[in-house]
Amino acid sequence: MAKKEEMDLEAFGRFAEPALLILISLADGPKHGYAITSDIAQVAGFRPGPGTLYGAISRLESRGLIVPLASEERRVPYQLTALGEKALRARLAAITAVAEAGRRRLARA
Amino acid sequence: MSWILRLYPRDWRQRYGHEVATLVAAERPSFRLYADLLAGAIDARLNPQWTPIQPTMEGDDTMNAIRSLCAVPEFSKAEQLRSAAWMIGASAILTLLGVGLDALESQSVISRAVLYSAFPAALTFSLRNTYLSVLEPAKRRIVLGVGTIGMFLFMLAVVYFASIAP
Repeated sequence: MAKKEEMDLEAFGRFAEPALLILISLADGPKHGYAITSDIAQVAGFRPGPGTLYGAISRLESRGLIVPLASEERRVPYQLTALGEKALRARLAAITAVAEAGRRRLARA
Repeated sequence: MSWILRLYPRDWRQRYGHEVATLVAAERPSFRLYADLLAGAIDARLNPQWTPIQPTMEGDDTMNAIRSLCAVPEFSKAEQLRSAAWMIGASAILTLLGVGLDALESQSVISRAVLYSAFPAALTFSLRNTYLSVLEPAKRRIVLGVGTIGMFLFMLAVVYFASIAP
């Protein structure tokens, strides 16, 4: 069973947000680095640099949240693991809870 | 542009280098790109994360996760003991040398520089059996030599300028 801290994206420091966006990008299927960057640009409105992207990818991979597939020429696609999906669901639930709390307070103000 | 990838650790380059190079080739060179790669190189050296496993889909996700976690670089008990021995031994020798020089000439610039650089130099030496062990012997000697001598010269300069400061 995975330890809680291995799934905690907050522990990634400045790579927490890129890591979350990578997990979101891989949620609908495997993608290689360039496709992930383009997808993040569409979803979040900014393109993470290669240093940031692979800093986050190495962290996700070392914790077993994503896994590389067989390479296509020089490109290596990555796939979300079951552990990664669990971590993504947990993070999105936490974000939703915070957003809901914010909305409720604004409605009362 | 490939020169900047050489700032990353060798193991990291072997694992992710060609993927990053492909991505970099598709980007327009810019200050932001260079800064991002430089920050990434510093992070890769300070927080090694890579997992030297080959791309595979054999086994289920749990097994892949376990293999990835087990592949985090570790050092053997013997390497850790040798590293600790270098740290303690070099610290003791350099501290004794500093105390000896201080006995010859109290509060001299050289004795203070030796004392101040004793621990960081010993720490550098202790890396020869761990993080620096991946380097070829010749390169390792250069890193150790330049690191310790540079450390001493830096401390010497600091102590000297502190001593002449009004």
